[in-house]
Amino acid sequence: MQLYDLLACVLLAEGGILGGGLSLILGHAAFQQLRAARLRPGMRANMQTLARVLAGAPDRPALARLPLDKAIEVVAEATRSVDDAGRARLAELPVYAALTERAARWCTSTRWHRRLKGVRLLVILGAGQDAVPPLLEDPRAEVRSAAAAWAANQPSPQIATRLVRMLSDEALACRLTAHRTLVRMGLHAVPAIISHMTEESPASLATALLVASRVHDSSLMGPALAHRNHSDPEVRAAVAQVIASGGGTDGVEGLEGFLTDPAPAVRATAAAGLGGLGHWPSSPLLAELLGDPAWEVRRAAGLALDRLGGPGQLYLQRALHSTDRFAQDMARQVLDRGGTGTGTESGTGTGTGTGTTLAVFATNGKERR
Amino acid sequence: MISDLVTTVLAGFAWAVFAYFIVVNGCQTALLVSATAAMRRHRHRTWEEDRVGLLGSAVTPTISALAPAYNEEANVAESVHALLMLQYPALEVVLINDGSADSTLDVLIRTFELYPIHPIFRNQVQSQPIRGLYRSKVHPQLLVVDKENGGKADALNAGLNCATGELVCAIDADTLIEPDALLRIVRPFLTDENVVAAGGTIRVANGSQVANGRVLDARVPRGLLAGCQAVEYLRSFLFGRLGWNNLGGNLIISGAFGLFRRASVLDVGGYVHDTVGEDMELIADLRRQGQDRGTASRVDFVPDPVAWTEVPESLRVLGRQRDRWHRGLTDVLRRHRGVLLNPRYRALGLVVYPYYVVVELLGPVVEALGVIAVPLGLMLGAVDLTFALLFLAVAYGWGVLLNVTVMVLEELTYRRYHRWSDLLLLLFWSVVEGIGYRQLTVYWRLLGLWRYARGSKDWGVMSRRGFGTPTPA
Repeated sequence: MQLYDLLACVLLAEGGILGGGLSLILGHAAFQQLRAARLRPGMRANMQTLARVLAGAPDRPALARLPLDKAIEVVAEATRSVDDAGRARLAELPVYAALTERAARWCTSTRWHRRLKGVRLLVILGAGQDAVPPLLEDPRAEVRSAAAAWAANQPSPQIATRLVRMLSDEALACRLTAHRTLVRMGLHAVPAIISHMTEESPASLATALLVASRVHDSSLMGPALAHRNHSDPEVRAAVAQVIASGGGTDGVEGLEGFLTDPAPAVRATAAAGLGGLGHWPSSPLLAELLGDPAWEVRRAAGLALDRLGGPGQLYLQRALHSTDRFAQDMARQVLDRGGTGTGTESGTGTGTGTGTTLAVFATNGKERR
Repeated sequence: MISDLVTTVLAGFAWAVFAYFIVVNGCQTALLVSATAAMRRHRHRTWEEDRVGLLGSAVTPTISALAPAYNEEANVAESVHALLMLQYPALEVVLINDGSADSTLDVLIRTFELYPIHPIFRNQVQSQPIRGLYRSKVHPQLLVVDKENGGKADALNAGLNCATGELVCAIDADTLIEPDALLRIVRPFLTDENVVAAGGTIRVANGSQVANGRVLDARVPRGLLAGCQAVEYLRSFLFGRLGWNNLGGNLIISGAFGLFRRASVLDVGGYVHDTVGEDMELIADLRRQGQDRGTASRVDFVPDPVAWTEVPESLRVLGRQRDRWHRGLTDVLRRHRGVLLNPRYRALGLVVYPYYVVVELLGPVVEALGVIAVPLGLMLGAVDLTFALLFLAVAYGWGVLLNVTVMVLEELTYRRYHRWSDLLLLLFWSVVEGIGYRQLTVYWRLLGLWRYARGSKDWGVMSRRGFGTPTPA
């Protein structure tokens, strides 16, 4: 074959593909417009019917027939902010049962995207007690993660235990979803977290502790404190966070003990925790940390003193005359923030600062040598 | 004898151009196939996903939106309002007033009731001195950094120092971000710890109806230049960048809308000041240093978060923009030349970087040489007229085919333009884009190369019409 012939063939092929592409675009656009026009009245009628059902209408009118994607769209719209009673009313509709059945079938598909679709549809429908739990062990991270998200509204001890194990999943999405779901489960998750923390060498202990700190349950304090001397500073910092979220006399003592921890992150978390608990007798200890070698510890101590109100302010004022330039500088910056006790942890918290000279920036962010 | 030599050289060159054409189009076909697969997977993953769940989640990473502004008194209040309206649970808006000579700061103080604060931040990357920081009484999540003028990169560095978010989103003050774009663009950071940056799609806003910093009705631009750019942007984002997700990762994220892991950006020293391609330089740095250290280095493109931008509608301004882009590209590729074909950098060194050198950097040179050599070859009889015409038709047809394929992707997925008139107009721009417009961009890019060789580092003046006056349909 000559080169000319080859080029001519390529040109012909291009023309053919181009024609096909154009036909596809125009055909698809026309199809979509016609379909939307045809289905619009049916969708509107269905939405109105579902709204009546949700409002407690006694009748169970038959829904107009819609293609699957549109039926899902309508039901998803209706269930977006629905309570249990409304969901129960929807569950009596034939379309709901049909969709649930379809979703459960998808959950057993060999194709991962079908299974994902199945779980997501069951999240919308608030169903799937039998179909979804096995998918917490799915080989695809997307599916496992979606199943973990589904579990937020279906708390059970077995699922909570599985979710705690998922905190050490190899996929980030699963770990984050498990974390989020456990926090949303709240008290339902506590036994599983305690059981995990009391294991001999629990995986992802720091993450489990962080979850515990967000669940705010006093029964978590004891198992958390058992790890206060853990070799990993991340775990110790997380223990400090659990203590800070729980409070109490034991908690304060524990946090004060962490103020001398070798790891800056632990000292900073403990300082922030004491500030959050408003434990003013700890002011002298926090004031000492204004001269800490690590910037984040000095910052946390300064902000904590600020949150303690009068006693903390007094120590900050004193630090202005300190011979330690770093302590002086941090005290100056915190006092210039104004708005005592705003409680913000943001480095640029609210306040009515006076716009003092920016010369103190000289030590901003510097570690002491 | 000399004539024979010239004829042989020209014929050889024609074959070289032909071979180059096959290589380039082979790469683009691979990108197209990869983009189609990536789009399919993305659609599966995002079907009926619960983005709203993120809004109340304890583990959602905090985002600081960094918006540098220089002499933006006319639009700054509207831009900030639009940023504050973005749907994201832990969002801090950091507007950096880069030493504006007009009343940008006064407008901000008045509109958002700013008061001065003495912040506590770590001065981790270099920037011009900060004159003051302000927080809003009505929107506590708004922080305004007032600093000495130092350019966009410098302003972003100042923002990086003052921001508190785990992630930072670099946004141009004149870019309109869709309300749920942050919830969409954050996805890669929630699924892969190796991701350091993610980019979203930029679409052309010219001609669309805009109000309160939002695109209310997306329209295809009516003007030739803006229309061709609309096609070019679609092609570049929808298959160019998406395709790279599977083939070694992206080397460019638009400076108008990108999300970065703040710690990683600080680790590489923030934005570089002495280049006009600071966006690309940052990405190259993040990828290269990440691979050097064995830490996170992946850069992803996410197709569904959308930001709208106004593109130049005058030849002069567009020329300046393209010239600057090409100088930026050249500079970044030169700075990171050690990556080229270096197996240590795997796909980055062996696939991505060579592509950018061969196709993006040298493309205009080869095209320009082709434009000179082919007529010369025809005159000297070294190139056959039928072959040249056929080749030209195939090359043009291939360009149109790529554009139309991207339109197919757009039609089957996002369908942002609903009117028949818009669809037909977009198809029309797809067909005419290869006639004249493409050659102009080649000229501007060549000019960029020439000016880079002469050491030019200026940005040039970019005038915009603003979103307040939409082009009538």
